[in-house]
Amino acid sequence: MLRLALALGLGLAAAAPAAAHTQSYGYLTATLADGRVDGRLELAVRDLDALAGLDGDGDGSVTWGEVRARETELRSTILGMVAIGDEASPCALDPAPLAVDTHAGETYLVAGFSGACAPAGPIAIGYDALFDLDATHRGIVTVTADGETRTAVMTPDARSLALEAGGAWSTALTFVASGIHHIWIGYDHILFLVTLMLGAVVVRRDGRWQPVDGTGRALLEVARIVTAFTAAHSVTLALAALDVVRLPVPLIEAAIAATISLAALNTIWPLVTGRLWMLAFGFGLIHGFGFANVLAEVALPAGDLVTALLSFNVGVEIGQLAIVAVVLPVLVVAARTTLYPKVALPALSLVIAGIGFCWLVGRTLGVEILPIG
Amino acid sequence: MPRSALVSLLAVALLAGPAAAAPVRPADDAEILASVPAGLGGGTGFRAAEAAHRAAPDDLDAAVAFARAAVEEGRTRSDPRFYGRAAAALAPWSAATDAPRDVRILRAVIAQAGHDFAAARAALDVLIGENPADLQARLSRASIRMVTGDGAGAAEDCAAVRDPRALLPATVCRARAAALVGQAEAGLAALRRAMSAVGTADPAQRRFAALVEAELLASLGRPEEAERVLAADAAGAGVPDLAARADLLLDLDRPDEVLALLDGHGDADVLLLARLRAAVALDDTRAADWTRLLSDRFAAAAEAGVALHRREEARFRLSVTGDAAGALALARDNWAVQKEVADTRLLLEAALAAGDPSAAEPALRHIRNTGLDDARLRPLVTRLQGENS
Repeated sequence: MLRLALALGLGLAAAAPAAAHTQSYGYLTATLADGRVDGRLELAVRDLDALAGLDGDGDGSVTWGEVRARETELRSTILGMVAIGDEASPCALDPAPLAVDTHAGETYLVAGFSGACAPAGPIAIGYDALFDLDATHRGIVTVTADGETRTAVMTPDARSLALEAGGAWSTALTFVASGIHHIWIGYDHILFLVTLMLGAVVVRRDGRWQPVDGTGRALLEVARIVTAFTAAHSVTLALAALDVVRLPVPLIEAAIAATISLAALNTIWPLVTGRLWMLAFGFGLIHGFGFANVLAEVALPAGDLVTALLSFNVGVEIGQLAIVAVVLPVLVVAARTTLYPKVALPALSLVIAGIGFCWLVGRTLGVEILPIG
Repeated sequence: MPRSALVSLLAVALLAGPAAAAPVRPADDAEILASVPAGLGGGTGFRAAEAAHRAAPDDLDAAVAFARAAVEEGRTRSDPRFYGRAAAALAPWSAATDAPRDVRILRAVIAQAGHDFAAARAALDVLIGENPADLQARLSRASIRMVTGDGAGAAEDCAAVRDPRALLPATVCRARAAALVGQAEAGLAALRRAMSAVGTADPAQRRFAALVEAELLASLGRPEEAERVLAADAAGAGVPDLAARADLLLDLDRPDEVLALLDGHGDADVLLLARLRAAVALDDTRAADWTRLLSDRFAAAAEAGVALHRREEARFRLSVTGDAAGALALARDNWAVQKEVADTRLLLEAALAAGDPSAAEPALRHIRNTGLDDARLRPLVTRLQGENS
């Protein structure tokens, strides 16, 4: 036992200097058109040998003859790893004769298939090849439907893919909805906007806060703020989503918390007055990186990237405007009271600054100081 | 053809994109499609362990035995698929935080092989905390510390392996750690003493000890001697041994011997790269095909989001396609994750080639702080310090 442990200790300890390797890949290609699906799944011969023991004579080489001897069984095994069509009842696939292909110097078995396929709802692609055999296997899926091509990487944790039917319009709608959703659950972004709005309904005159002249002025000021905020976060969202700029998530989260505190403090001790939109723009750049982090959890369609990003931004803007539509009338009315500029505004600003500070500290240290954070 | 012209030709060849093959149905039953581990009655015992595991997938002992065999196969072939097989075999016991120790240490080794050093380190810290005398865990953690450039920390773990039956592995560990802090000479002497004291040890242990002996000799500026050490134990050499010997031969400007050495030893990326570098040095006509092949491999990895290849790809761009800027970017990304001498050397060379000596600063600082004194790095450090001053 010790001998094995020592051999293993050495062997295991030596695992580190191992250099680059040949990974296990699979390639699924499918085209859906005119009520039919055509495609193929390509898996490495080495991997199929590990799965099904193809080396009949055990001589360390898998030959075409050894594969041909098991062809019928292999065709159905391989096609059994793929599901295309309606999620509940995938399309039946007819196998084609096996062929052989080469990728990056390695030999693959090609299992072609075709069948009638006209799913009623969104097209679901299931790829469950070899993950339970080899956890490092990755499936490269390329699907073309309605003239649009989508590529995705399948992993042990992501074995299925849903394609929205209907192409560009449906992508746009999906991402508008996503944008609205993400701003409404983005309480830190909302708090930042609200903080700026608190200050937008008053103006500094004679050394104290006074309500801004007329609802029209308030609306204009808030419109400027929201537009500047949106413009800024659109820019950085695009930069981050397209991988042009990459910033660490914890840094951005902490920075967003800081912007909230600073915006709130600015309301009490105004460094920036009368041009809140500039503050909104500058800090909006930071918030854009925050949106990119949540957008990263939503798979962006490779073929529709620009549409998706634009739609997401539109959704965020719509969501923001909805919040403004609710909050602004309240603030405009409140600003006319004496209580607002003297008491409510500074008090609220201090509370918000405190919340922002707690979030800043919590996000920097990785702890939760407040119940939400 | 002059070397620079060949390099340019290779770079242009790559612009044509990956080779698009069309599926064909072979005509000849005898055509060999793939090479796989030999069956029962031949080979390494991997097949037997595989069969036992397949017969009883829920049996922990069979799964652990298979995972160990797969990890060893993965190591000697430099092939990540085997680590994937091991991970899949252990999957039923991996979610639980109180998984058996055997499972946890194997998962740490698999994580390490996948370059997820943080996860491996975390798991080993827990294992060693529970049992500070666990020599497998100690040796593995020492290895990770060495990969991440912490020679002093590695030495601590090596020193904790005190079982006299583990003399050779412990000395090998200490020698590797010593080389990282400028004490390669002492490490080499201790290693040689241990090798002769232990005598006929397990062949895998002996071969690994020879590999480390060669590495120490190379770091002391004695590459011919290093190559002779590896040549003496050539029987049963695995991919890491062949790769080390090929790199020494390339450094010694003996590319023809590289091609002879690696012929018929399979297509692990690291061997392919060594063959390609030799082919470029010899103006061999196979260089273009091998360049395309490696380039396709790197592209496939990028497509699948796999990031294990940065060191090799950086070396590929630096020494084959002449893309110094690309090489430097990869070398920097690589160095952020791992800091072995090969990674440091790559960063220094790439910084010089790309005309950006300041990019080498982190590595130069690391060398100063740790006392690393490697003969392969010295001329690069001198040149960079000259450029930076």
